[in-house]
Amino acid sequence: MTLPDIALVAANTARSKAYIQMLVRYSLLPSRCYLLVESEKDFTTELVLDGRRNTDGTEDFFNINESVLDSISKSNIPYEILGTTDINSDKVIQTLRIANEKYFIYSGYGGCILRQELFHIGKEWIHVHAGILPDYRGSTTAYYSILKENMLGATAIFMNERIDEGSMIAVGEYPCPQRCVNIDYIYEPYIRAKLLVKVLKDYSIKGIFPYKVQDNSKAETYYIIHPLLKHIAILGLDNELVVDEHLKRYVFDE
Amino acid sequence: MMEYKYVTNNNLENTQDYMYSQYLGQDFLKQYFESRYAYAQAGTTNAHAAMDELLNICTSSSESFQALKNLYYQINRCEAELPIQLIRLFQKRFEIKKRLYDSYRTNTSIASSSKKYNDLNLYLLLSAILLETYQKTYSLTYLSTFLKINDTLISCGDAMTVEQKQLLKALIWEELKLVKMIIKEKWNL
Repeated sequence: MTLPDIALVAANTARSKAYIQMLVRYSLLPSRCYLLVESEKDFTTELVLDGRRNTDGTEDFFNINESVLDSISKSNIPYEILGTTDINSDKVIQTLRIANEKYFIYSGYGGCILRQELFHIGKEWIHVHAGILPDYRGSTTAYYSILKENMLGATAIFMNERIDEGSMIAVGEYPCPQRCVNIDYIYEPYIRAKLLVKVLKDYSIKGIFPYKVQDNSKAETYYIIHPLLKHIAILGLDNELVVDEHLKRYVFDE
Repeated sequence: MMEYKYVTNNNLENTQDYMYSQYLGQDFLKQYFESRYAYAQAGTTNAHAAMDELLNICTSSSESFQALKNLYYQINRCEAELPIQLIRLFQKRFEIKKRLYDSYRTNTSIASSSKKYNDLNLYLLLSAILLETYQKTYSLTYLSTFLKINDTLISCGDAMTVEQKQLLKALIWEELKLVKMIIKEKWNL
């Protein structure tokens, strides 16, 4: 099924790969993809993983080695190369302003803050944040959530000028992956894509995106997690972890 | 074994962004402990006393120093409610640039014109504030920033006075206690 009001703004990232592959898998196709790359050649750049696996053997995630362009082409989704990686460029704004679609699913490059003008072009921006809002605003919230609650979350929002503060469309809670799965490049993009599928499935039935305003009194902002805490979180996912004797001596040394 | 790589010879000049940090398994934790123990050995373990000693002789008059000093005293008064908005503001200021400037435009993270960021007392004060805040809230956002500030402070060790070093060592002992506690809890040890 093609969703005529929905477009995907994608980049050469793991998240964009997860989004497009999951939308294709569930037959919820955007009517067009706007691609934040200089040229088609940019999609040949390979992402480097750190040896952890792309699956835990129990769940079929997505294929990190399949480019966004390949996924789009295989499904005959119309696309437009934006000629830049910068979502805030005048050229991108002009292109998106005159687009037919009303809703843009945003999947640009990490760390980029959308300029105000993009919120005044008569479109709605849908973003899936990798954490439960408003409790987990900010960055690398997956790891904080694993440490604090032994689970992960995602929240679909309508973006506004304030980071992670837009109205919430849907929230999803997900179990922790096994230690061997790469969280940054596989599991976190995957759970975002999973929630996106749910949101678009509901939209395809009801024709609206129900939403509610965030309760700011519960909000906490997280910054990029310190690598030490990240390691504690990842290693803690292994139920059969055998702790190195040398490390144990450090941990139990009073 | 490789060295713990988040302490350079000066993190204020070689700022660390910590983004997509590489996963190195248990070796990384060993690198961390080795590096921290090497720094903190033979140091005092009383951070409050070390901070009092430092503040007694400290003559800095910058806006940030005064604000952080007041904040430190405020959160150490048991009955006081945690001034969380101000703590978050200083946390954000550090996280954005991995530096603390002498002064900022009011209520923002934009440094005012002087742009001096080498006063290590600011980093020591914020480190102590984040430690207290974590111990009172158990919110990991403060512990994460505390670890980053301590990386920065260790990297600037050569430029520290004796009193500053004593305080940092005490803060590192506190940090080690917290880290060990989290490991034991999360790994069911």
